[in-house]
Amino acid sequence: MLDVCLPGYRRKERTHNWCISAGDRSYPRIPRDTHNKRHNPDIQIGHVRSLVRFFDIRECAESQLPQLRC
Amino acid sequence: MQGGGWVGEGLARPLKCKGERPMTSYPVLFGYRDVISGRNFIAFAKTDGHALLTKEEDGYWLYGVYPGGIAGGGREIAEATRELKKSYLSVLFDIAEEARSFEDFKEEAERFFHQCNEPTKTEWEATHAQVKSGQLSTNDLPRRDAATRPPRIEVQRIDTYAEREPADFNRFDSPIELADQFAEAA
Repeated sequence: MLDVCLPGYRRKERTHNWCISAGDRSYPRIPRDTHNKRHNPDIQIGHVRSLVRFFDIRECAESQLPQLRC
Repeated sequence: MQGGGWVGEGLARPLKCKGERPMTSYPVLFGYRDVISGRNFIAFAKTDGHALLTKEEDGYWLYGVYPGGIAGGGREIAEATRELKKSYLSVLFDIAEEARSFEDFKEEAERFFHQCNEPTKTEWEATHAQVKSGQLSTNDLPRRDAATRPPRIEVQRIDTYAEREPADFNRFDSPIELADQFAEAA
């Protein structure tokens, strides 16, 4: 999705999170969840929604990931 | 997952989608006071933030306005609140691990806080107007005048000591666990 909706984005792996940067803005909280193995080890959809809002790419993102519409 | 790529591959299974997104949102304030360890400093971070609380199909999500780069979700508001705090701390922990000095940490922490989530801020302001006019209310949260808590962050150094690994000091809270006794290994 980011390849299409946020071309040229950069991602950086940190201890707790992936940090997504584009231009001079950075979204620092896509959890790696290395420390939290509770019932939902996958990236929770709310984090992606927040990232999509942050970079103002909602329309494109929802075309790539329809589950974001809910 | 079509169109997923790197981010899509990591998503949890899709929610049940009814086509529209029935949500109620509320403008909320929060305040955090935390001690963060760096390689050669200890910092105190004092934050008053804004977030949008949204009731969604499978629970609640808190979306950061200031800072705009965090979110937290859960089946109940309390769980979403804990997850938002965890999100916030995880970013500060990451920044502290990379910071070469207290000044580095302070600059990056302030930059993190001030990057606003503009679409969420627009929703926050709209719902705040509804709260002020009496059109929107909830019994689940206490009320506070937002003017008394403008968004801000203050980072102070509180100690300097010999170099150590920040990971040795920075820890998330431990959840409650059932006390058990494991049999000793034979």
